[in-house]
Amino acid sequence: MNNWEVEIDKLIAGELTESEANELMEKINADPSLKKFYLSEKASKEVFEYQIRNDTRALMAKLLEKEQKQSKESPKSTILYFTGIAASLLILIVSVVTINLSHSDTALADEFNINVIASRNGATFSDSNFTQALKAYFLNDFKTAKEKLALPAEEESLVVEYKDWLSLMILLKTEGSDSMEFQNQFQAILNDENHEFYIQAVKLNKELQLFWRNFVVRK
Amino acid sequence: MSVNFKNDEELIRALEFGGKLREDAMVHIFIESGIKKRIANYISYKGGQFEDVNDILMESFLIFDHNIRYHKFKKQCSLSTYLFSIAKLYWLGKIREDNKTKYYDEMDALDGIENLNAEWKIINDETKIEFNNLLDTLSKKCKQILKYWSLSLGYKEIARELDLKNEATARKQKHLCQKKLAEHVRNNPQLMPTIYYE
Repeated sequence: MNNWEVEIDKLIAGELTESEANELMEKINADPSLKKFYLSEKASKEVFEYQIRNDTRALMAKLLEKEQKQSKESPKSTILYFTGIAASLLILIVSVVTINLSHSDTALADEFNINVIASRNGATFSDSNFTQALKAYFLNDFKTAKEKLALPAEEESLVVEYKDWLSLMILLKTEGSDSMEFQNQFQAILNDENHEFYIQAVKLNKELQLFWRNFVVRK
Repeated sequence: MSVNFKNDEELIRALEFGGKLREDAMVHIFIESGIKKRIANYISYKGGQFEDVNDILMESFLIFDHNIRYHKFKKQCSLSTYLFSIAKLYWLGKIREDNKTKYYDEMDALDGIENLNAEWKIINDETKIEFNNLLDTLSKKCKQILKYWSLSLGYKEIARELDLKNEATARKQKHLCQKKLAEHVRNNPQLMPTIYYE
């Protein structure tokens, strides 16, 4: 290969400095045979590049098609994503409803009602005012229940702590666990380890302190 | 599954190497780098058409690929920034060709960025026919070498496919094919594409 052929190769490859390229171009333009050589070399190189570009373009079109297919598929993923969120929300709602049903103030009052506890303790009630209060409570007649509880019992000392608990349950059902009145009476039982209903009060307290109770409609 | 390229150096080597590695590098740059979104954002921000994005990306990538193979990338920025710059300039160049002067200031800046070596020339249909005619004059072997190379076969694979001695022989063959084509043009001046007479 002649020296000028090497130089022309370098010129076409863009390997010459600007001044070198300008100098060589002047020579090429002044010499028809050099110009013919230069143009034929340039044409052949560009034709090769043209072919490479065409094939690369085809390869890229394939890649683009693949990418577009993936983007078309993505709505499915989006649907799945939202379905997942909807399912999670549904589970959350069901859980909250369940928690509400089992941990509302009313539900807790039913769970810790005096009848169950009294039967567990084997207690019997002979006092008529207290028994009437109890009956009214189970008939959801809390006003009468309160009134009967306010009346003195025949054997007050035997039922006084039962009256405390029944009164607390009435407050739980009527005023709710957040009411000041309920809290005062509840704390009084919790502070008295000798109270007949102390253990039940501790258990009830645990239920009332549950994290899930934050999502509960109390009353 | 595409190869996980650790850095730009590895990507450049893969693009230069050819073969499956080149294809993997293209997938990485073209799809996984998020360049399409970046270009789409730029074009839509500048009020361009979203439909142009694929074309712009494709043509910019061809310039990018060419510049990488011819060592014109000076490594002054990351590969994705380089491709983004080419795409940006290509799009502005295209607008200039369409005689839209909205982005005149940016187009002035365009003239100053010579290191990109972007090829603005868009080959017209007549030239395409002339180029295709020239490609038809190649020998079967040369056509195969060129086809294999541009279809992402490395020189090693080309040597194996065409039963050549080794990688270096395949490389030399490609060079000789180009030289033969140039000689053929010299001997048959009527084959010279008209753009070289202008």
